[in-house]
Amino acid sequence: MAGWESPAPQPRESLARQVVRHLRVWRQFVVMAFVREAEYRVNFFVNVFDGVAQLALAVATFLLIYQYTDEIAGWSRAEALMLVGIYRTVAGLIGLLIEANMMAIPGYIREGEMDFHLLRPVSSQFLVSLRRLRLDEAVNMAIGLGLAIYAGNQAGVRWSALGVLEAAAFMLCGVVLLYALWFATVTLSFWLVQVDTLDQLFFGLFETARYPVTFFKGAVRALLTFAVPVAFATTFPTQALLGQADRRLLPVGLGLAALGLLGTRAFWNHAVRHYGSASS
Amino acid sequence: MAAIVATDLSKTYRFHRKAPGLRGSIASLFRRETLETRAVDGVSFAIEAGEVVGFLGPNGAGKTTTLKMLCGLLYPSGGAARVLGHTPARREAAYLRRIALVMGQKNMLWWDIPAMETLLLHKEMYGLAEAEFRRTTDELAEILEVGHLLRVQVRKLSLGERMKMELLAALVHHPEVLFLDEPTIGLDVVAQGRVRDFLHRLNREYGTTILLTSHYMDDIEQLCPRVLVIDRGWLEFDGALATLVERAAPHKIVSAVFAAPVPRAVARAALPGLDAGDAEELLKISLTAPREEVADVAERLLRLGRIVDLSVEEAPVEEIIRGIFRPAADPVVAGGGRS
Repeated sequence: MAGWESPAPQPRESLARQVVRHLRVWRQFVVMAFVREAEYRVNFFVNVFDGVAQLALAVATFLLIYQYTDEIAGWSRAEALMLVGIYRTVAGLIGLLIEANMMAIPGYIREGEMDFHLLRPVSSQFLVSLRRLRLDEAVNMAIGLGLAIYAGNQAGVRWSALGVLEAAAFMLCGVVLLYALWFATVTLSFWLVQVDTLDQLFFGLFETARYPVTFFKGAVRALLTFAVPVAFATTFPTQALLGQADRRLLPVGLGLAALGLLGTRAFWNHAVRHYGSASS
Repeated sequence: MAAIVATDLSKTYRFHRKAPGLRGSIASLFRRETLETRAVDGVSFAIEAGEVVGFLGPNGAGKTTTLKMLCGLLYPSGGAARVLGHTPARREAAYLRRIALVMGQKNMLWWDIPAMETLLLHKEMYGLAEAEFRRTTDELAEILEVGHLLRVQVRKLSLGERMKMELLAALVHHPEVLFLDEPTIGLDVVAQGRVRDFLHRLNREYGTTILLTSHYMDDIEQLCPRVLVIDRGWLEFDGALATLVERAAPHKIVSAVFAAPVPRAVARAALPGLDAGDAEELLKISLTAPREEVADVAERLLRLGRIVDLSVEEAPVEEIIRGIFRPAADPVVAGGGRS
């Protein structure tokens, strides 16, 4: 049988061009999110209100605790409030970029929409992880950041470019690690039909990030730092701004984040191969 | 040149069987019986560039499984698939840029925003140049008559309009091979016709190679000079639709309308085996005859009296196809494959 013995020669796309193409795809995700938000304006404001209410509740909890004491495990009231602000910022960032996607992935597999995502000439992990943005979360993020700055001033933070950069780097590590953990969890849905309970597990663990990791002791603290890396997301950035961070932890965090990304990539590719041999 | 080559292509699914009820469920946690189904079993064919080929078969025959192996979603358990010189299952970007898959029952368009945004997303994903993208979009939107709907939320479109948009979205990157799984399902007759006309034009003007599955024989009759018939994972037939019809339906329908009524007894005598009913006289006589006897039957009809109208027709294709699969309609076995 005569056929194309080998593919028609195509100029191989350089890595740089691939990155640019993916960035342009992401920009279109942002545009689509704006178009979508415009269609559901009421929903947008309801979600913003929900975020503000949650923040108020978290702040109230801390203020209540600190009525009876001035310091918990070395954290003053203002410092703890700052952490609440950072927590809100990170939660907003996760909500903005990845939360809706992680919730949607099991559905793609169940309903068969995954087939379309796998047939695009872009990374399928990139596609399913980032295609949906929740813009209302950006407002929550801004409010969280505002609280962190306000409380930081009260706690006597001397703002420096280096401190902010360091905090941002810790936060980035935390967000990447949380993404990796969550993404690995939803990747399991290629094998399991229901993973909604695993989402709840993730939310439960992330809740602990509202408290400084130093509130916890021994094994639990180690768990929250390395196994479930919420410490990188909130405690360490706050400490970095307060000038109390353990700098040695930054390269550890960056290394873990890189490992997390590579790990999820390998796991995802493995899962997609399984899908190809088992699904119909 | 063959654009699509399947060589001994096979796909085996493994699944577990458990006894019903709580006890069975608990037992299956520890020991499960693994069963295998051969959804596709050693299928071979080659499709030339520019061909439109219809894929026929009952539900669960292996059509969708084969289609998915060809576009790269499923790994073959055996044999090989080559499309445009690529191995589909590797899903290289260079390959994915050259094909498209449209499934009538699933949508790729974003539900709550206008279709134009999805088209722009495809423009970025496939790295299309602005001018090229505009030209293709305008051209396809004009042929499909959906230009005015590009800025309307997808969920507000009718089913037919949405299907046309799906096609448009699938084609902005000018795929050389188009895989279609039930593209006209659920559409009304007018919309089905429009989609068919469009596919026909796409093939003629762009030379797009099309492999489609459909339950509607009209789709197959009007679009596909060649058909592949698959049943229980086996390729039963590969060739021209006309040949399939000939082979599957050795009978034709011969009908005559007479100027003056013919007495029943006379007709019976001339045409033994005629089911003439109760009427004493017949104005119209219609009967099925084996192909080789059609001429003879027509001659006898002519001798019965002056004829106003005489026709010789094929049995309806839909009926023929149903006839092919009837012997295979063993529900237990046929249910093994999934589509």
